Amino acid sequence: MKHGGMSAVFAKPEDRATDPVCKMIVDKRNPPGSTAEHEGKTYYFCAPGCRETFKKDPTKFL
Amino acid sequence: MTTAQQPKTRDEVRRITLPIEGMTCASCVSTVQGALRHLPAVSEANVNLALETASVAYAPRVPVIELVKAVRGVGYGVGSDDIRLLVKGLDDVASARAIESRLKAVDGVLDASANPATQQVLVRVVRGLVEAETLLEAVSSAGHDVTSLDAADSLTVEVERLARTEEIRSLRVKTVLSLGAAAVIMALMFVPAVADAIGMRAVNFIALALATPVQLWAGRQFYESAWGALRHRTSNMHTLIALGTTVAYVYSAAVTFYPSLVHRMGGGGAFGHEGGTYFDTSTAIIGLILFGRLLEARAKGRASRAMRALMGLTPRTARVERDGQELDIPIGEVRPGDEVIVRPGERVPVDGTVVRGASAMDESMLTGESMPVDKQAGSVVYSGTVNQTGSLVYRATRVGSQTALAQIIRLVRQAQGSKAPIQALADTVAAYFVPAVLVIAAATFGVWLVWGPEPAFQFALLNAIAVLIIACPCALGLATPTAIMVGIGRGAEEGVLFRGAEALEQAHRVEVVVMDKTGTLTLGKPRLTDVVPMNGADEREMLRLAAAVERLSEHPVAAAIVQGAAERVGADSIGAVDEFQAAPGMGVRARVGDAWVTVGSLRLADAAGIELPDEARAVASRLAEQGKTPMIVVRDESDLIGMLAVADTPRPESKEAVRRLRSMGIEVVMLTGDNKATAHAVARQLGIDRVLAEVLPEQKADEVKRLQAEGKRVAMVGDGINDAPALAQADVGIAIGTGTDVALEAADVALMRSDVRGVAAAIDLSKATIRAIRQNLVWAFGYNIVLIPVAAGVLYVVLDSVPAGLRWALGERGFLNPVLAGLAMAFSSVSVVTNSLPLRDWKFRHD
Repeated sequence: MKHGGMSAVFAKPEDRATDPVCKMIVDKRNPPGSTAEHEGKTYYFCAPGCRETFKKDPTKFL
Repeated sequence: MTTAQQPKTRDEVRRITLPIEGMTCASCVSTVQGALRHLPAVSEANVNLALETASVAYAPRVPVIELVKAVRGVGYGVGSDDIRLLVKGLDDVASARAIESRLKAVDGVLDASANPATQQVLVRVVRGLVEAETLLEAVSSAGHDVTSLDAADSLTVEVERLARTEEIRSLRVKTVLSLGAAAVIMALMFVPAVADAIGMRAVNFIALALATPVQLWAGRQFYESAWGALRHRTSNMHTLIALGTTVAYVYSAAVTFYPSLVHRMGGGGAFGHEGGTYFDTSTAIIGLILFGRLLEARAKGRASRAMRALMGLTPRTARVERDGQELDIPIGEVRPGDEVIVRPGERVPVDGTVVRGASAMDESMLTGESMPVDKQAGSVVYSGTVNQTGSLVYRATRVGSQTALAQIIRLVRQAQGSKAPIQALADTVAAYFVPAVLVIAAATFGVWLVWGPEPAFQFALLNAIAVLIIACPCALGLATPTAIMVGIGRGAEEGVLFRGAEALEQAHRVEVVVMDKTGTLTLGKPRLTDVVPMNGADEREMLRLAAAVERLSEHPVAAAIVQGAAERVGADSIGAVDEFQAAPGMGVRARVGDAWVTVGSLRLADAAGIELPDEARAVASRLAEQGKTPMIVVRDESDLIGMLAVADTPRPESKEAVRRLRSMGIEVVMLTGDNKATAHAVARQLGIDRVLAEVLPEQKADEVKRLQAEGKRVAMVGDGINDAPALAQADVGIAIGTGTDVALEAADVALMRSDVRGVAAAIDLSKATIRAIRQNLVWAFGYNIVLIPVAAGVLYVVLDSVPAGLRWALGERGFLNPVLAGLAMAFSSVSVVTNSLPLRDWKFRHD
């Protein structure tokens, strides 16, 4: 499965997160791009690329 | 084991049942229960979710309102009832305040609001906890003549009309006799031949004989009211009138019996009163003020015309079928489930659902919509509407105070009885007004007695009386509520229901109107317009799959797709699905056989990270530019199998509505969940510049907040159900097309017709009402500010000599004749009421 796909969008609200970089919806239980911590909060990513972009300058996406 | 807990105090324990509102689940129960048990006075609290009640045992040393506050504090409501009282003779702000505070002191009363313009008090009580009798008792013990208006709602019209008629008749008799007595006294005093023939002393005695009944009988209502106020250590307008006329009367009576007093007081009379008595003054003032009251009562009767028209709509009897027989029974005896028969030309007695027959109903009295509405079996008919053509038999569903008409009446009445914030200033001033006037009158008396021209005592006395009489706090008290009452009543006639005075006041300040697109600017009935299969999918198969999924959704777009599919491929070929899921504002999906099928907006593609091929993008923008909403159909996670488009037709009057608002200088913003391209295409058709597109349902309130953050006053127009949070967030929330379902909590204004032009009408009516209120307030304040000093004798100091043209009013020296003070006062409050009456004829101005 590439990216989030429909299953992520239709996951339960508590299992859903929005990728801060591309605004895609990601399934928290299985984030394709893994996660990152910033100021005590966890962020979920659709792909490793988004995660890298986020980690370079997190404040840009918040 | 018993679950009852020990009382936490030794006080006696009272058990009550509170109706709780807003509970949806068990956690609500524990929250409410916890909040109540947390109070030290509460020994036991049990909340029942099914009954929506809380049984509470508590120490009655704390008032019920503390329990109510605890429930409200955790976000729930306590059910309330409104009881309306009619207080005869309630016509100034001070008494209204006193009555309000007495009622608020009754345990279980949540709020009380007395309106001098209607003589009504609206009391909100915890449901089932307070009897109307208790309230009546509280008001009547303060010396007021009070009746309950809710005893029998259908009789209300009659009671109110009779009360008003009786008041008018009694005022008319008293006015005529008082003014007659005053005329005779004046003739005796000022025709020299009379005094020459029988002597001044005899004239005075005859005047005394005529003035005494006027003072004690016609003027009795002033004494009663003033005394009632005095016992509660307050004062009101009647204090001033009673004091002013009593001073004139008592002094004149003293002079009649002891003529030498005149000489001791400096001799002679002011304003040509050779005999030294002022019986003409006391009687004429009473007569004139009663005359003013008479005109006011009649004008108020006209002001509440709209309300009476609504209340008069219910017929008194209904024809029902019981045991195969047709019976005419009083409307109060109709029960839900009865079969009611309505013939052509008759009014519908209670609400119900048509069982047999077909006809058209004139519902204009409820909705303002002049086109008759067709009715057949299954249609809902409303009490008060008129059957046009055929006979109908329908089953009664809502009777008595439950009918739509009764609810509308209750709503309008509550709105008319509510207080506008603009009234706060007048209320504050009125509270200090009477004491201030008493001080000014005393000062006036003192100043002229010491420094005034001869005869100093006489001028000091008459000037003090003039001050007491000319002061008119009732104009201040009536300025706002009369205009509000007329404005809200007029709105109701046009199908524009303001839920309160505050809404009416806020509407005129609106700078931005945000309109929800679907259902507000458009008909809200989208149609399937295009079916575009992609990636080799079969057109009919794709449509079948999409319709199967959408069949489980309640969204209007879903209905359009299902209907469109049924027309194209046949309803029977649409299969069943499992595991339906919805993502609000984006789309829905379900399992069809062993595949997932998703139908949703273009935004859904972004959220799911699906790259649409160029071909699909081109189709989407072509559809959007035509004002259609493109949707994607996806199999499993990301296989696009086609696109659909739905379009909603703009309402024919939307364009005109937008034009009207813009011509009033109001910015119009369209709010929609649709994609930008579609939204702009529709906005262009309607002449709207600013579009907020791709807004998820839960973000609508935030968009309104954002506009407010720009410093603008925002009105939000929507259907009142899906838009409730946005309506509540807006400065003015307007629900459209509510029909007879007007009891929408979130809306400040309910437009009963599905006609967006009503938005401009509501704002225009608000402007007209506020204009009348401002004029009234300027008049009421200006009148007192200008004329109290004149009555106090300021012109004597200012003017060297009185211009010849003003001598009739000001005499030789610049002192105002107290009789004229009475005349001015009488017309002051009348003018405030009559200035509000043109609002009755308000019509939306085109351009």
